[in-house]
This record gives sequence, C-alpha cells and structure tokens, in this order.
Amino acid sequence: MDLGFPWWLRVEHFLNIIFISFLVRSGLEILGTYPKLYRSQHTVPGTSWAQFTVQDEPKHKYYTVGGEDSNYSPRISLPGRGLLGLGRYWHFMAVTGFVTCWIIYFVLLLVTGQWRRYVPTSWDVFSQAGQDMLAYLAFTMPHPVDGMVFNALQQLSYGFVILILTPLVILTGAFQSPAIANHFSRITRALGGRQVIRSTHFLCLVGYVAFFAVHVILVFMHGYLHETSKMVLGHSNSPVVGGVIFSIGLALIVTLHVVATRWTLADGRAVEKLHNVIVRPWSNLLYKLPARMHYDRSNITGKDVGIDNTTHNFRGSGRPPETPEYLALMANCYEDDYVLEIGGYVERPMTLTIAQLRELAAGHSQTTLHHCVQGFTSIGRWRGITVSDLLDLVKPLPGATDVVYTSFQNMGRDDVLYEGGTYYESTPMVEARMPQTLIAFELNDEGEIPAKNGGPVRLRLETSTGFRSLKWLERIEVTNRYDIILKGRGGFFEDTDFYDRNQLI
Amino acid sequence: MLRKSMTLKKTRPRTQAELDAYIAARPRPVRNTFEGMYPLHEDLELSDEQVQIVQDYLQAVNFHLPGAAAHEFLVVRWARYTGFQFLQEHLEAYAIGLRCTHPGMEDQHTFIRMSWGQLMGDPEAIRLPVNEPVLASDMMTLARYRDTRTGPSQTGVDAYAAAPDGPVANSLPNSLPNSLPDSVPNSVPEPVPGADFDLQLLNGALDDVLKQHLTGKGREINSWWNPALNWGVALAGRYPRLKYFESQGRLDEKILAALHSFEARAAHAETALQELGLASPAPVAAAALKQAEQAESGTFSRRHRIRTPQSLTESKPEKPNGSE
Repeated sequence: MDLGFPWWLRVEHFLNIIFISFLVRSGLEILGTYPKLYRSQHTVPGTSWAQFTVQDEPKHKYYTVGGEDSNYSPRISLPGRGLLGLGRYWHFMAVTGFVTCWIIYFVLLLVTGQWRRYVPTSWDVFSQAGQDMLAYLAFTMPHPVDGMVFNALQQLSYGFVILILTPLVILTGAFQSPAIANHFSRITRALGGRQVIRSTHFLCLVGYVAFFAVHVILVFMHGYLHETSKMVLGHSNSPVVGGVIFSIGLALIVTLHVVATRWTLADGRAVEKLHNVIVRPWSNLLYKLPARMHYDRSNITGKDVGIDNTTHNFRGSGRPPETPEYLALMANCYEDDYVLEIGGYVERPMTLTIAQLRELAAGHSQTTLHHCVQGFTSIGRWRGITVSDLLDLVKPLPGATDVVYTSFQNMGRDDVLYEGGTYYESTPMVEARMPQTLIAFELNDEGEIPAKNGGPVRLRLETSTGFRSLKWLERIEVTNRYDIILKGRGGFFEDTDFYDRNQLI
Repeated sequence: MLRKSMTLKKTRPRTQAELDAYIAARPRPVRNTFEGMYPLHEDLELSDEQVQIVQDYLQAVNFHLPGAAAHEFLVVRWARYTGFQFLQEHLEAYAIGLRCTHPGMEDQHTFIRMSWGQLMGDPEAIRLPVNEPVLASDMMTLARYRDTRTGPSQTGVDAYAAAPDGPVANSLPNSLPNSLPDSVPNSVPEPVPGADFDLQLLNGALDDVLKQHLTGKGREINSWWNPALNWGVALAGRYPRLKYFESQGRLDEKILAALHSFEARAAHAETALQELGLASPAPVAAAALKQAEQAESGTFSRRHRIRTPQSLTESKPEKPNGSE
C-alpha cells in the first residue's frame, strides 16, 4: 500500500496547526489565573509541585485564589491580561474544532488503512527507532522504513502524538469539566483526582510543545522545502512551490493569532457571541449530566459519608463582606439574626431561619469536589437542603424558568479587584433541580460555614465552576426570565466579565 | 416538616449562663482550617476573667445600643479572630458578640472590636478603634421591610400565611391609596400569601430606582447596580406572580388596588426606567401571562432558557432630546 500524503491528511495537518496553537495560547491564559500545579485535590497552599508565578502571598492575611493569578502578555497567551473568561471561550472554540477534526481523522485512518503509517506492525520498529535516534544524534538522516513515508522514530513519535497524546489531552480536558467530573466521579478518582488530571493536561501541553519543537527542527534537518511540499502538495516534486505555499499558510496563521488577540481585547462580547454559536450546542448537552459525586465509595451503599477525606482549609475566591454588621452576625454565630427569604414567582413564599433550614434538611449532606474556574479544588462535606426540595415547598408558578440567588456580598465594597454591587447568580430550572444543587449551612461538621467560604448560608452547584456557587446567600427568587436583571446574562461575572452562564465546562 | 411558623426570638438565651450553654453546645472546627496559611491568632473561648475584661471595656468606652446602657450586654464567649479573614481588620482584631439585655431589646445583637492583647489582660495592649454598635440583623438587606427592628416576626414555611391583620398586612407602603375598602367581601378568595410583601419589595425597588435617577449618576456601576438588581429581580419574579394571581382572580381588592397603584407609579417613572436601562412592567406582565398560559397548556418548553437570551437591559439609554 502506498501511504503517501492524501488530501484529507494534509488538510488535517494544516487545521491542527491552527487548533493546537490556539489551544496552547488560550490554555496558558487559563493556567495563568492559577499558575500552580498540585498532586492533591486539597490544593494546600505551599504544596504545589510546580508554579509559574513569582507572586508572593501575604503572610498573615487570608488570601483568596482570586489574588493568586498572573497576567501573561497577549504575545504569549490568548488574549492575555488575565482575561480568563475570554481565554476559556477561545479554548472551547478551539477544542470544538480540534476534537471534531481528530475524530474525523481517526475514522479516516481506520477506513483507509492509513493507520499503518502510525501503528508499528513489527517489533523491529522499536529497535530501528533506537538506531534512528542514534543517527539523528550523529547528525545523519535515517532512512524511511520500507514501504513507509517515515523512518521508524518518526512513525513511533507521530503515532504517540496522534493516538496516545491526543486522546489523553482530550480525556484530561473533558475531566476539567465539573459536570463531567462530578457525574463520572469514579473515573475522576480512578484518574488520580482533579489535580492529577489538571497536571496531566498541562504535561500534555508540554508534550505538544516539545513535539512541535523537535518536529520543526527535523523538518529543517530533512529539508524545509522538501518536507513542507509534502504537506501541501502531497509530494516533493515541486519543493519551491510547496514550500512557498506552506510558508504563506504559516504567515496566515500568525496573522490569525494577531487578529484574534486584538479583536478579543477590543470586543470581547463579539467573541462571546461566536463562542455561543460554536460551543453552546454541545455544552448545553451537559445539563443532562447531574452531579452525583460523593467522595466516598461507601456512600453508594447508603452509609453516611465521613469527613476524613475532606479538605481542612477549603480554599475560597471572593472576600467576605467587609462590614461591621457582618462581623456582628459572625460574632453572634449567625443563627439568631439570619433569615433566608425564598419568594418570587411562587405559590407560597417563605422565610427560613438556619434552625428551620436545618430541620427541613433532616441531616442531609453531600461530600463533593469543588471546581474553581481558576483551577483549585477542595473537598467539602456540605450539610444543607436541596434547592429542589425548597422549590417543592414554595411551588413555582406556571412558566417559572430560573432561580435567582442574591448575596450580601457587595463586590465594589468587599473586594478591591472588582466594581459593582450585590453579587448574584441564577440557574436555569434544570440546574436548580439537580440532586446536588444545595443550599448549605454547614461545612465539614464544623457547625457553620466559615466566613471565607460563604457563611452563614451558601449555594452549592456541583455541576458548575465554583464562582456560580454563590456565597453569603440572602435571597432566593424564582423568576420566569433573567434577561431583565442587570445586564441580562444571569450573574455578576456573566454581566461584568466574560463568563458564560453555562459553566458546566 | 415545619408546619407552623416559629419565633425563635422567644426561646433565645436571656442570661449569661443560658448564653454560655447555648454557645458551648455549638460545634467548633477541630482541624486547622487555614492549613498552609499563617494567621497570627485563632478564635478564643473566653474565660470568666476575659468576659469581665470585655464587660469592663464596654463600660470604659461607654459602648451601648441606643436606648440601652453599657452594662446591659451578655457576652458571647466564642471570640472570633477577624484580623486574618478580613482585609480591613487590624491583625490583632477580634470581634466579640454582644447580646442586649435591656427589656424589649433582647433581640438586638451587636459586637465589640478588641485586640488580642486586651483579651489577654495586657494593660499596655493596643486599643483598636471602637466600632459603631451596629445590629447583626441589619446585615440583611431586606431588614427595612421587616415588621420588627431585628427581622421578621414570622418565619417558617408558613411565614406569610399570617392573618390579614397580622404584622405583614399592616406594613403596606405609604404610597398605597388611602381609599382602600375597610372590609373584605365574602366572595374574595383566600388571600395570596406574601402578596403584600411582594408589593413592598416592588415599591421599595422602584423608590431606589427613582433615587438613583435623581442623583444624575445614570448607570455608574457602583451606585446603579443594586437598584437595577433589585428592580430586575422583583420584576422577573414578584411582579409576574401578582399578575398571574390577578389573572386568576385570586387577589383581593386591597392588594389589587395596591398593585395598580404600583403600576401607575412605574408608568409615571417610565423615563427614569428607560434612562437607567431598566425594564418596564407593562411588557413584562404581558410576556409573563403569555408564558404562564403556554406553560399551563403544555406548549412552553423551559429548555430554551438554558440558552442566552438577548439582554433587554443592555442597550444604552436613549439620550434626552437636545442633549449631545
């Protein structure tokens, strides 16, 4: 069989340059907002195995994860300047193209028999690859295997990248999604936990960059025009023509990056619209994956979940309310001064104290993994009552679509990083009704929720990234729309920054 | 299941011994909840001597709630170290909860800020600025709508199922018409629970919107945000609720008149709503009733609500005639 370089393979090669380069740059943007890598899901400060920031943390003041970010230059990351939401948009758009491309490519490899170009059919290939490596180190060019277009080392390395590294990066990327990770929680644990998965995803990035560097060097060693001509024309009979076309293609890709970066920095909302068109059709499907994480396998037998595995220092983003009234509330143990209002578009509104919430919850708890949009994780055992149970009590009226939650955290007042007022969030009814969407009033059997984690009462949305699990909850309002609330995007960061309300990924 | 509302205020501790037992029974963190971080101090369990230090300090700085005296406090023994979690608090700062014992003010809870050294009895200890005697219950942004100074008198799943002459019914806003009927006809359906509270929130939200408009700050984010949020939330939930019950003939005349009064106020404020980029009740009501009708006939799908709708409030306000 003459493997050659069929047209679809050449198209895929070109598209992959675009997708992977966008993935790497937007991935660096995401990494930059929490530039630390951990082995443990508890992400205990000071225990990261790698970090890419020189920022010092305050010694005797509590610091949030929101203050641990680093702003990378737009020349490196996409779009740069710490715009995580927009980096995520680009990452997910590129993911959509990259995964689609890889699946089609994989099918075509199988159907056409081209899989032979990447899969060794003889053990001899491995020993030959060793000899090829020695040849390269001696600055000589090894010859292709008989009947193949590559030498043995190329065959193994390309096969590794396409058939191992790529599925691995897709898998570890998918399990960054809180909806997927908390639905398939056993797989999350089997893969080593969220931080091991995140670190592996990062190492995949390193793998791609290393492969790219070696790949480019080898292209030059084998002859730039000769090799690139194969990727453009399918042969090397007209190396100059092929090489020029390939070089123009590379210049176009660089231009694409420059344009995308500047466009994103100038008009983030336009990028958001593009994201919604490309990503929403599949990310909305994740609403079908309710969280079912219990951080203890024994829980499937109905046994109570212990707190042994929970995080001692449950990390947080966002500052607690900086008001004397809040200090008074905390100093009096919250319980006798706090009430939760639940009303809006319902049959029977109500006002509940913490004692009443506790009674309604009847001892219910869930031990779950928190997925911060920046990247940290903590495991917490939350006592509370499900929003679904509360909705059953208040009875939403016909046409109710969303549940809005408001906090007594005032962003402009409490957090130097932000402007605005009361923090709020909203969930579509499908998310509000999920079995692990919880109104929590106690963390880790400590009697209450600490101020830094949203005490006295907070929301837990185990299918979403962390910022949507609103802290310092005061009101729950059932509504029949959310487009008339503030800027109409469904939450504080959705309105003021570039975050999708669908935070299932 | 809670069937009747509860008023916990009546069962709260009234003596230092009762309060001590109450606080002592509450679970505490037993692990290092700041693992990997380095707070200077931790929460303290105050001894009798330390409680006396707090009481003496209250007298020394004449710390009291309006209408009460400095000696009229019980001290919460679980002193909270605030110097770590709160940016604006001094590194030595603690917050000690205080419960008023003045007759009729037992529901009022506040705190005093003291330093670690003071609590340790060090006469040379740093003295931190004395805080205002704020009430813990004032953290609730709905406090101004409640029927008692420290929160609602009725709580629970039936909190709003109070009798028509209950505290909530007597708290309708001043803007309601004066000529409301004194008696309720026999044909009036069962009162809709919390309808009057809905109207309070709607009118209060409208008041705040009008105040924002009067300041001339327009959509300046820090001052616009809360009025816009409360208006939007009320209009997306409380208002459709009342319109729905109105369409079902379930509002009594008093509430109906109050609802129409609110709508008249909102119609009068149309210019302010437009300039602040906020929705108007009339189209919201029409859309809500249509949506409810579709839902009742089984032709409404919630699924589309997981997509992002076009914001109705994001467009910039139209410039007034003659302005640049």
